[in-house]
Amino acid sequence: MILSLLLVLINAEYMKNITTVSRRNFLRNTSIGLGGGLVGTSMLSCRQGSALGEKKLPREVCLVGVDLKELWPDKTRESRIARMLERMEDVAGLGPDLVCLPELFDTSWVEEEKPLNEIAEDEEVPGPVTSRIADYARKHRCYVACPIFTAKAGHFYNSTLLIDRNGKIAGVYHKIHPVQTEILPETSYKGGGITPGSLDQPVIETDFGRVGMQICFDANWSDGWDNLMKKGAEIILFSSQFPGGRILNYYAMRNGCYIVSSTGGDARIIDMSGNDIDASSTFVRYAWSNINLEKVNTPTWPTRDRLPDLFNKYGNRLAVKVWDETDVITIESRDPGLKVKDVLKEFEIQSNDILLAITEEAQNKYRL
Amino acid sequence: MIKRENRLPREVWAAAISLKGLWPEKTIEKRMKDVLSRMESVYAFEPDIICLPETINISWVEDVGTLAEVAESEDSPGPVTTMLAEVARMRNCYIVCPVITSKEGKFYNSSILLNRQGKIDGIFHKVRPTDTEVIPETYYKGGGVTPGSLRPPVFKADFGTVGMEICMDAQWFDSWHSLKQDGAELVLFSSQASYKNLLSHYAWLNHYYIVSGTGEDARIIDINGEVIVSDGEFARWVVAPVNLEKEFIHIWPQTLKFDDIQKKYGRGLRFNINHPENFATIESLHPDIKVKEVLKEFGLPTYDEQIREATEIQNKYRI
Repeated sequence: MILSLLLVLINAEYMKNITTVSRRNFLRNTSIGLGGGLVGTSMLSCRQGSALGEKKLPREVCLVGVDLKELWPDKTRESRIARMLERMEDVAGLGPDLVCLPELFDTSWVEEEKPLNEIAEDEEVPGPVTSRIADYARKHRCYVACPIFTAKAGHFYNSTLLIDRNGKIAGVYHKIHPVQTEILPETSYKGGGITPGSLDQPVIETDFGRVGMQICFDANWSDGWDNLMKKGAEIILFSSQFPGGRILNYYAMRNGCYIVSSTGGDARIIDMSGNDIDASSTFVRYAWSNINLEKVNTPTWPTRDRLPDLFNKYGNRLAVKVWDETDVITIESRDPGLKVKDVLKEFEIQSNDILLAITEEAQNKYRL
Repeated sequence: MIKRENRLPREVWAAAISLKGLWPEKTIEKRMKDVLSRMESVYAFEPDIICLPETINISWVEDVGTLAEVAESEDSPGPVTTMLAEVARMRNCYIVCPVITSKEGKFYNSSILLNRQGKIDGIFHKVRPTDTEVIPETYYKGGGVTPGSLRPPVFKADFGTVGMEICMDAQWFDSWHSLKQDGAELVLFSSQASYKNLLSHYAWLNHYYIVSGTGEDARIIDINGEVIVSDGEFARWVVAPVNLEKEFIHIWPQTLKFDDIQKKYGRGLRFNINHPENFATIESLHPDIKVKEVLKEFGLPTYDEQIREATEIQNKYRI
């Protein structure tokens, strides 16, 4: 709370010292202050930690989703890219580890229409759009999920390129479940159609954890999400035209992973418990949060019974949150030297996935 | 008073009660007396079906004997089943009666579906009991329960097709999905725990209504996952009409035809669009309008039909 107040005060001081303030900048700056304050009540937002000289926790990651709202319709692709880069600069001060952009961010709802072979970019050597996003990634030392058309071996894909902190392409995701009109040539796109991605898509190792990706209509099938869960994705990046709503909350809970969404309607950071942590809003079109990968979902029962002992021994070295709506208690380490799995072992608490595995084993043994 | 015969053709009045405030309890007799008393609140609505919470007679009851003593035979109704069958007959409604049952030497955590005549229409065995329920002498005295089939049955009621689930079944998606595949339109969930948001997710994922009676709450959930009604501290029961003449669709590109449909059918249809999720429901409010026929007239697929068609095209073009 003190941090929140400080930030608001700093923001107020800044506001006093500027002479001309556009409505857009006023709203943006004010909202950052307020938004940071809100997030700061439960956890440090990205910039706050470093500004006050506090180090991030070993598995703490600053995630940002930037939405496309109010950037469409757009006349030209160049205008779109420039406006998106401007919006991305707005969040650079947060010191993000990862910024997620919306599906086909350079062409979605852009009037100027070019054939696929003119706009699709290479998947290994950054093309013109990827290069500009890569410049941002390099400049701000962050990963960026850059969703554009790509071309590979004579086929076009609706893809997300994950660009690393050095501006290199760290991995590629091909949309598994495009809508019919995207696939059928000359229906949605000039000069062809796109090929659905392989059902077995990669999980990409970053310097902070394992990241998977999904795009838009993919949300209507569970197979891609299930596959990412099996491969151990800790964060799933959802780039889309449609927001996804409760569908994403369900997958976050089902997979026990964080989701960063960046869409045509909103951007959200969703907790592994299935609840929203942050969302873009009317006057601030991005969402951000510091999340901690040193954290697990546990069942309300019997974890509830162990809480007093946990509090007595570890106090604020742990962040424990009861999520009533999703029947989950998350346990998170706020101490660099403390591993959550060691705490669970010490207090004989099972994580959700372990509990279900043990239960299923007993069921299968006794089922006729 | 509006009588049953004045309802829409596929309008079903569903009810559920919560066990909240009735536990802990000393004896089975007292528990059942309290349950029957709470059920009184819903009769004025002439419900078609009432859903009761899991193991209604023994959950959080102190004086419970062994499994053999409390289990009711699946062949001839036991005391709790008989008691609730009498209510079903008198009130002309279905009742989901969750008790421990026995069959061929095995015990099950079950929901017995009693019909309007008080007869057993079907029995559901909890698919996913907790490990402590399954392992003998851990949760129950005198044994453990056997997990039910991974493909549980659905039952034809006189108003539609129903399925049942119990408590920890909510942690696994498979049996919920199989109920949908087998045509369930309404799923009765009896439980100790509420499984709040998870039930809402199962409703929209499977496009069926869920009526839940649990140890913590009672709710009726729409096919789009929205809670129609839930209980609270001033009423530990819920009743609401649900309309089975309703279809679940994806809004794109179907929404382009909504204006034309609305112009033709006006108040005869109700649209509910869930914008962030991009899905919608269309419900008939007129006895002569069938939603499937409207969809056909305007060339609109249901959600499932659209996903099936999209999957075929994706598979055809995937390398």
